[in-house]
Amino acid sequence: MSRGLHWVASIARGVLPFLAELLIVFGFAALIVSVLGLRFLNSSNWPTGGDAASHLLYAWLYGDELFSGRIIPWVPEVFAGMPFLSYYFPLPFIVISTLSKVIGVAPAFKWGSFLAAMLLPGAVFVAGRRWLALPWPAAILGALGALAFVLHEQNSIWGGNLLSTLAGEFAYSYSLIFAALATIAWVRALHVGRGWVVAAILEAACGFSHGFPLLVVVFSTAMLWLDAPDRRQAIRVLIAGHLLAFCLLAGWLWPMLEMHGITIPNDASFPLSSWQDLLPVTLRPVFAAGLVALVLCDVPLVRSTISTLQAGALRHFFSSAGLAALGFLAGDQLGLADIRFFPLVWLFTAIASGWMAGLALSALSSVAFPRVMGWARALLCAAAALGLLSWIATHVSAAPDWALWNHAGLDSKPQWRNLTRTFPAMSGTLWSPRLVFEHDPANNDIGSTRTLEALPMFLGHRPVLEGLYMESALISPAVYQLQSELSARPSSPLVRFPSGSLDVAFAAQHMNFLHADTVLLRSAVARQAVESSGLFEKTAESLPFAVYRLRHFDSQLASVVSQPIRIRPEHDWMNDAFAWFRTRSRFSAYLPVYGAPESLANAQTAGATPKVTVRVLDRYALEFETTALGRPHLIKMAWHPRWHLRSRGELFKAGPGFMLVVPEEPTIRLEYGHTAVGMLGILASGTAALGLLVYILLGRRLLAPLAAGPSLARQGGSYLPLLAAWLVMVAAGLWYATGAPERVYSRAWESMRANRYAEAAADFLLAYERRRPQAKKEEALFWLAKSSELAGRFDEAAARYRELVENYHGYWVPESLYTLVVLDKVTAGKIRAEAYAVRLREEYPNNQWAQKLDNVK
Amino acid sequence: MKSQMTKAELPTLQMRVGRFRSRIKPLFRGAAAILLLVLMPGLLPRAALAGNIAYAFSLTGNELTMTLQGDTSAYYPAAFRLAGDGAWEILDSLGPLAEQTKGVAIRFRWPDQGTAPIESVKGLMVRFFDQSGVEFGQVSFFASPPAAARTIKAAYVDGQLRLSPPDDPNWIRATWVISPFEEGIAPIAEPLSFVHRQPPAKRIDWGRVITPMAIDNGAGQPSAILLHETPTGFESQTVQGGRYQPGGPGAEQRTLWLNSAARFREAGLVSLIAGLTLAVFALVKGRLRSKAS
Repeated sequence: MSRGLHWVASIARGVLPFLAELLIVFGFAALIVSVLGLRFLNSSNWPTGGDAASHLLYAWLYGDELFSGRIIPWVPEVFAGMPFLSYYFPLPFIVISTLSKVIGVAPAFKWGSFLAAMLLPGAVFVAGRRWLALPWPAAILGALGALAFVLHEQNSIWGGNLLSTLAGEFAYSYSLIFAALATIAWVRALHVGRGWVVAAILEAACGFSHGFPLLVVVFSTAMLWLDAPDRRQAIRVLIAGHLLAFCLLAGWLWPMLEMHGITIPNDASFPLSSWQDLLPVTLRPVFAAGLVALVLCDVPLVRSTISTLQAGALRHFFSSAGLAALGFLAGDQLGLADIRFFPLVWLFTAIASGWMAGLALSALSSVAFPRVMGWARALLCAAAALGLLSWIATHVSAAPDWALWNHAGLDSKPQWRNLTRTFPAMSGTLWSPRLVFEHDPANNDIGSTRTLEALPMFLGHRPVLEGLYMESALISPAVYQLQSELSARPSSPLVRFPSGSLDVAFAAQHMNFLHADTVLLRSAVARQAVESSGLFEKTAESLPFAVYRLRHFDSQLASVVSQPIRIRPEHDWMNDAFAWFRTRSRFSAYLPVYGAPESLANAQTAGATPKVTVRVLDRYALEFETTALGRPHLIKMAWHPRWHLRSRGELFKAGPGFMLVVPEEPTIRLEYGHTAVGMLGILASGTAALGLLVYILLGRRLLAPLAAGPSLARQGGSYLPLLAAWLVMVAAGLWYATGAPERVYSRAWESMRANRYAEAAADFLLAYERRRPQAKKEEALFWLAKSSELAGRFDEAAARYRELVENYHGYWVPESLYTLVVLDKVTAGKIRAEAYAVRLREEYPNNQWAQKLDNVK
Repeated sequence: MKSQMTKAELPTLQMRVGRFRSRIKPLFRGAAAILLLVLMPGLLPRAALAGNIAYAFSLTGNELTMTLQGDTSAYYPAAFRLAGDGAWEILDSLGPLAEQTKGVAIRFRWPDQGTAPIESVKGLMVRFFDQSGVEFGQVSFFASPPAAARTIKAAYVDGQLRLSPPDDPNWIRATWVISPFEEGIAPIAEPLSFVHRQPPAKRIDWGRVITPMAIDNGAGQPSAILLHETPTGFESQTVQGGRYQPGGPGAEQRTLWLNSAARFREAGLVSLIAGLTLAVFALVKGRLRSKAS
């Protein structure tokens, strides 16, 4: 009997803490679920709002593709074909697709998007308890720090908080939870000598969800190594762990690294409006508690209760936060999105602050009367938790409203219903000519300005030109250029390829080239411009929406090239292709083909063009029949290294990024698959996964030596290397912060606004020299010229404008040409601007600056 | 960004005001009645409202004109008229619109009215959906009765409008409860058909009813107007919407714990005081014990 009771007691000892942890995990998740609204999370209405409106299409498609074995599918529904998940993060979509098989796509998308955010505080709590042996108060307060982070409302685009996730950045929130867990696991692995495999798996999951947290997790382990008790063993553990993570990710990551050069960096910087941008009000009490606890840590009583492992974790979390802050300062200059780093600063600091506060509280129980002090500790912890919850509740204002808007979804929006009346006129199949739509901020009333990107869901898969992952799509500069030619208020989302303005005549040519025959318009301005052009006929109307079809559309998905071919170098081909696409004289004169032998330029393009017959149109295979052997064929599907020509002939990229095939047999067959590096990666992933399985099955004996030994005492006991690393980080941060081109550019604008034009010119010159992307350089050069002009230095200004129109092809060219003509008058003909005036009229006939030329006397 | 008006811009503003006045004036001139109806943003769930929706009405002969003046669109607007038996008769639109944008007027046919006493107030209800699909209604009168000198106890309790019998049933003999039915945000969790549903107005005869009455106006708990039948005619009493009355639950989409900041704070303070007391007690006792030993 007593043995039985003993057994029950031992089971209870094991189960009760587990149940308590489970309860806390669910409790935190329930707090977040209630903010989002349970009824709406379960609603089968299609979710919308921010980028989520567009993500939806991919989640909808991915369910089928994933379970038919395509982890990285080709999506012809957008951007004339796009390698979905080649450059984006599969894990959240895998979770959503799996959930969708159980609860349906719409609820799966909602739950799947927020799952990581819901679980973050609970996961921090459990990891703190189990891996760092934190006392309850510390684990609870750390989790509350994470909750405060999730619910802060300082911004909605930096990532990690609920508003950012509602804006569509759910992949980032997945990465954050794995980043926090991987960081804890690494600390444990290096201080205790156990669990490096878990750390590696979590690191791989972090990378499989988003790149920026992965960078911080990986690079911060260098600081962990400096702080490790045994650096020799630590380096072995780190190498083994990172290698395992790298191999687990290989099937997806290696080809991405191989092909990242053919993506479009969108490295916009986000200037701060004030210091408060960096210190969200919701997190302030957490940070304040952390500061107080930091001071208390100097008290021997408190210090003595913190274990080596816990102290190491605290140091590492602050070091990781410091590294993330450095990433924020340097991001813009490294070609990375700076704001993606800062949420890690908040999260890591909030968690560590909570831990420290809890550890300081816990020290109380060792003072006297442990039982009474234990109660005091529990009450003080409850007071802190309740106080923080009160603070958070006061400062959560937008999230419930946004959640309602997003999750009530498309089906409840009256303007969406209005739009659906035009669907019969737009419906088609995956292989119908493409649909282009006007960008209009007013489209927020159909859920989001990005809702139209998901139209293929509702139009029988009929492809649209725009999509979400513009950085992954080679032809996106051309797509947004066309969008701007048909929009009263274009979006111009690509920093490096700023697009133009309303120009219906050019748009008609571009539509035909991009194999788009239908346009959906919303604004009265665009509708009026399209109707008065006579190039389109109206096929449907449900105001404010109207659908038009291009009258003389004669594009084929595959056709023999009929215009002259010009061979262009592979280097910087994207800029060249964009300049060709947006410049009238070039666009009508030739078709650029990149990296092809010069002999191709002599290929026959004049004369009769034999018809190309379609034989197979499949998501992953295209097959055509032709009689024009040896002649270049333009396939209006986006080029990508994963497309392989399986028939005899040669494959090149042409125009804005289409495929060009020179066939040597009547059948042209293209198949979408993997590159050699991709195959190698899949092999590496498979091997790593298999090894991991064996390792688990063998009870970890295979790699046991690395995991040997309990807690390790610090050898040497010096914090100097870590301190030195911190000093280096601070110095690098200062260097980046003071030398940032965007900072200089902002300063130039301050001078400009204060009419200090000479000072502005000096700073614009500095920004021009330091900025790297072409479009940003062009912008700085324009304002350098303009500030020189305003300073009365006409010769210098003219030289800068000339430099711009001769070397750049972007947004500022028309105005620069116009200003050169004006300056010619001011300087009494010194500039000889006739050629500039001619160019402006010919290249940009509908541009406002060309029209203003008539007024120049 | 703050607007900073210069002296030079002032005449422009005056012109604008003048233009606005000249646009508004005809609405007051020649119309049988006119009223400006403004939906207070505070009365609507915040997420369901992306701005203000305001209407101007004019009634000329058999034609009602309803002009949207707020800063956002209304969808599937419809007008209803209070009939003698309390039913809300839908008025025929002379140009149906899915979206009514700012400044756009919709005309409705206003048939000749009956002679029932309640019809003398010319009760009108406009119902519409906002951008998020939430349905609202707002009541007004072309012949608005005076404010009631004596009122009854009326407020939302547990989501229902509770009306207590009048102290003097000889003065308030009956009460018409004029209120839109608002289901709040629940319907938008499902696909919507954008059809308006408005139950008839209730008439409570205080000669027969002697216990408090509970009326379900939907989860939106809209504001209501009570029209009391008194010996001198109709008198009106306004009841504030339940969600935003003192102690009301607030916006539907805002979960309970977000509205409990004060309670958390109070509980936290109690815990803090109790915790500090215990800690001080333990410290003092511990010191005494160590001195003694």
